[in-house]
Amino acid sequence: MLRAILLLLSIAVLQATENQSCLKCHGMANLAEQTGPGRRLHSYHVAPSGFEHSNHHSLRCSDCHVQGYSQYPHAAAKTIPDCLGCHQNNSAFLDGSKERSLLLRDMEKMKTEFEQSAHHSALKDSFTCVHCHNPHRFADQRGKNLSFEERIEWSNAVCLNCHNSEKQINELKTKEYVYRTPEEIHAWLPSTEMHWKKVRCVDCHADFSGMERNEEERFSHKINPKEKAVRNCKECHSTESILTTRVYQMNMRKAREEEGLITAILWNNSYVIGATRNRWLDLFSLTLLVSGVGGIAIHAYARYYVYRKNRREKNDGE
Amino acid sequence: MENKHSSLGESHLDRFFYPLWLRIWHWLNAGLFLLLIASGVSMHFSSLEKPLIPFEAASLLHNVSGILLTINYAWFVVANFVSGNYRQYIPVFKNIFARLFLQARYYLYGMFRGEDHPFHISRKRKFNPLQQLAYVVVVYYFIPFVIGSGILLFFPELAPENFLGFSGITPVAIFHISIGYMLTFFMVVHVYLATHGETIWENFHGMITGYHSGHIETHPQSKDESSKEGKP
Repeated sequence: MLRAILLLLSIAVLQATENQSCLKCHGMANLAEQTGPGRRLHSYHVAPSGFEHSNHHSLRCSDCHVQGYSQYPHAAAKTIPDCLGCHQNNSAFLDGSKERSLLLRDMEKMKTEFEQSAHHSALKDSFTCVHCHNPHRFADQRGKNLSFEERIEWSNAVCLNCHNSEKQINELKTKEYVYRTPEEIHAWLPSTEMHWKKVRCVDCHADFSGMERNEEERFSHKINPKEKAVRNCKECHSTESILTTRVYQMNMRKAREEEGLITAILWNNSYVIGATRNRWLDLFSLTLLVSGVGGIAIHAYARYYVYRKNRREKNDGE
Repeated sequence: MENKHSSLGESHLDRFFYPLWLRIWHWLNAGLFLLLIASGVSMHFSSLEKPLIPFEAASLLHNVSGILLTINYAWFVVANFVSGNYRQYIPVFKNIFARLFLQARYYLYGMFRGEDHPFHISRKRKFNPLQQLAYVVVVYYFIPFVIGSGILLFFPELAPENFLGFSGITPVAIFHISIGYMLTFFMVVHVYLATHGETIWENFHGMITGYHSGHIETHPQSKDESSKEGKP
């Protein structure tokens, strides 16, 4: 037991020591170099606090940055770290948890989806996993006790990290491109801010075809070109809404699990006009309306009957 | 306006029940109600395959009609106060249940037996007890509530972030829809009860011309006294 503790302790110390020596330079916010086409400024900064809270915090820098870093100072990276080396078919990565197993299973699909995405089509190999999922600060929030809005915000931050930054977009662009802010691009969308708080970017911008219903929390990595983005309101605001099979289905299921069936039904927290309705309210109100109309029909018939009867009696009297 | 009752010694003014501002408000309200119900139902029960009204059009229609309804209501509040018409809505609580019962009994039984209306209307009291109760609830509660919740849905950032632990917009939406259902129910019943004049069209005609052509009470005080005793 003591040996095991000492072993773990020494691994942690070694890892911390190695990472600290890297972060001595890479922890500096202004560590950058002008390189590549156009001599653009590339930052080599890794925020230590961000890394400590990331999913990779337990790794050594050299676990991913494998070659060419044994001496100091080292040259700029010649190879991009291979994410799939760990995240795909790696038994060391499997810790037996359901989420990890699903992630591994999904990885092959994600790769195929990504290769069909607008990002890959436009930027080819210069755009990789790390452009969205910064390995030095990426912290998967799935399974965490976040509110619905927090989950949306977390998901959208992945996209907005680049799309909210003209600098980031300019660094990536391969052809002439006039940067427009997400607000400018979505000016046509009513209640834009509300949509961004309640819907993930990927719900409109990704291709979900072929995904299974229980995969709604995962999104498709096949990001569509802008021409294929959802612009038709009815695709979300209808009973056959794409949202009800995506993030809102997940939200409703989660609400049922956490708050109980009745509360979730009565206080459906996933209100989207046209897509999610309180069935009890509709049932009660429509019953009331139909009963009212039925009552009126009976009453009107009785009036007509009495009117005819009175007229007949009057005619007979004459 | 000449009418069949002018020979009874009533003044021309006795029959002028509905001034122009009231008629404009009423019919605008009616038209906007229909547009709001149609667009609201279309959005609420929105379907990709068979939309009643295309979603974008329904959304625009609902928003524009809602804004016009709000302006129309503001106009009503001001004109209602300035003209003194608000007095029609001040409920008389004395013997209210007996009077409500008499009116309901008339609709459900008395009218089929050829009985007279239990409460004849006059310029001073245009509503029977059931009408007054319904109009007070609708005009002073339901319409302001539906406008208020509509404004919160129109500017969702104004809705509370959190309401009893739920996202604020959900209770507001449910409240808005509930009132919408009740107003729809009111409108159906209101239109039907409007056919209960001396002829089916009498009340509709009155709300167009401003003149009530049916029987009126020229001495409402005595009628009130009799109604207080529970007698028709």
